[in-house]
Amino acid sequence: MRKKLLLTSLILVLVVSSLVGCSKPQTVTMVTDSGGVDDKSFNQSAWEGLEAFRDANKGKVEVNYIESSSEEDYQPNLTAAVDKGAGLTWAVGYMMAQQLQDTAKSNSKVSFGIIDWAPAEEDEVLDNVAYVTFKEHEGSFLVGLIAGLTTETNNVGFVGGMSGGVIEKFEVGFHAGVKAANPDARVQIQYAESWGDIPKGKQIATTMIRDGADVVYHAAGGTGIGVAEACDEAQVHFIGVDVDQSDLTPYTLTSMLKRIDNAIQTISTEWLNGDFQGAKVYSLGLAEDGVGYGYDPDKISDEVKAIVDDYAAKIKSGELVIPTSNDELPAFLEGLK
Amino acid sequence: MNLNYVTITTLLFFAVRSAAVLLLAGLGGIFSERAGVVNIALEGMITMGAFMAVAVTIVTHQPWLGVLAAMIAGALLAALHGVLSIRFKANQVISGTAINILAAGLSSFLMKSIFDQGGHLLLEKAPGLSDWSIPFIRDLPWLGEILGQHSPGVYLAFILALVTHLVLFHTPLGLRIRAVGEHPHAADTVGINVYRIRYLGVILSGVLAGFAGSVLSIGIGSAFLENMAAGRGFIALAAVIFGKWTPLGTMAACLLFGVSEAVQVSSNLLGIGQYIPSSLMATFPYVITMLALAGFVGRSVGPAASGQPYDVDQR
Repeated sequence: MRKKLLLTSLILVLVVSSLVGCSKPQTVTMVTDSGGVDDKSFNQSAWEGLEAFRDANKGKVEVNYIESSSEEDYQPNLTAAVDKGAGLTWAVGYMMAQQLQDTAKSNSKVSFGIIDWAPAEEDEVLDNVAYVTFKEHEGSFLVGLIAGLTTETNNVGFVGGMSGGVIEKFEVGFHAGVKAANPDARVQIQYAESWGDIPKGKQIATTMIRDGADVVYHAAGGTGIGVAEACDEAQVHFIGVDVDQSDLTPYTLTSMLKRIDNAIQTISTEWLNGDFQGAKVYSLGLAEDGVGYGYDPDKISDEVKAIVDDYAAKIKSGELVIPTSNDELPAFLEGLK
Repeated sequence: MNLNYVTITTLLFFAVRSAAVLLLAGLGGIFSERAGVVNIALEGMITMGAFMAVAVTIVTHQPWLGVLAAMIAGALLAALHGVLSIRFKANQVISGTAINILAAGLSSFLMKSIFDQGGHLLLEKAPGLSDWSIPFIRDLPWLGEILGQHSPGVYLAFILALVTHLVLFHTPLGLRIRAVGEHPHAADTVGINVYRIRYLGVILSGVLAGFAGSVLSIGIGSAFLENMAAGRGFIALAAVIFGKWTPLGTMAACLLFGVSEAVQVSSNLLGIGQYIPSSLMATFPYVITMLALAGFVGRSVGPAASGQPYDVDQR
């Protein structure tokens, strides 16, 4: 008897919850990568975008998030987002690509978006997914200019996370920026082969600083915390990545900003207005306000800012194309002369 | 190759420092394995120790209390591993794996619930452990640059390696630990309490691994990062195997791995990056361990009863 009662009530709960789900089609849910929604990085930036979207469309939309603590959570979390009635589900981070593709395929009536991933040739392009990538090389170029104009030793450093992948864009953009501003400057480049190893980051940056570097930029995730520590101890300039990282050290010169918040807000608004463009690969650069740099008037002089903004205008207009790989770099540097 | 006084001393300084963290965890591994319990959970104990050290230091502003908390946290996780694998005779590798997963989740969870922070936790205004600077040594050329100033944990790691060697091979307690790991039934018949020795070994391993975690987070660095052990627990185990389960051998292995790590992360700066990719160099400790296990670098055989639960009735 008890079992039957339990079963009936469970079914009732199930039916009611699915009905509730159907009655609110205007829900946008984001699934975070590990680190949580307040990670002072990607997830937080994405959530700020959704909050801005909600505030701009008061009463019409509901936004929420589901946190993943490990890779095993991606699939259940994405499914849960759809089951709870999200009309648009955001996957924050390329790590979720496969799971997102699978979920989107089996739920073709609702929309999805993924940050930092675009289908390669062998991948299927789905009509209900917006693929959002960023031109990080353009943002890196700008902070490279700032580094090149700021260094007094004509020696700057770049610390990468894992070699042989997306980080080359950051490295080459930065390298190009430094050389554009200061052809005599030396750029030290080293990869840590880890995204989460603070001592390695600190070790690399300290070695660079002992070798004369006085500005160090990183694109190394958590390893970058060690880079900031090294800059802090040696009192040299640190350049953050993805979000404003000035909380890591007071010696932060600027940060290369990836405006995930802007992207999510814009595309979510398009979706709300019925203009969602599935299967589209967004590639957001300076012209689309997808990347930028952190400006602190105490750290960056008006002179430097004028030069950087001048280059930014040239990039926006298409007059200047920033290289994305080491193969293109020599030709670019030659063209500057 | 770009070799000069600065690059070489910098490289060796970092090699010693990386080796020390591995060594502390490795000594823990020795105590546990010598007593007959495989401890694959060193990784999780380092993570938990790293977190507790930062958490307690933020609250109390006393970094040495943070170190103590890290040791206690490691010991508690180790006690859990002990109960599962000694009392309940669970498979030690599975128990260890479970503890690694538990530590990763628990540290993130506590960080979020206590400090309302995700991803990483900075010491900010709280002080980390200040370095020790050794008189006389610090004034020497070469040696002074390499060994003159380090985090206290670095010096303690090497001292503890000697202490562990003396304890294991020159005291009755060491003999008991080794006997329990080699042949627990024989040890039992001469009146050694096998369970007690095993608990002792496992808990000591937790204390040392927790200490290693605190060196990582408040000694060398000043922050906790999710999963910040970054494989060091496993490399430490590799060092134990390569070092043939002896403290001095493990110390040598840790120094070798430390040098390899230092070379790997400065491969481009040294000018060897174009010949050997740094990602390939990162695999060095694992390759060496496989070679050691396969018998290429001398025979490497662990304590005979390591990994087997002790059952009094079994013959």
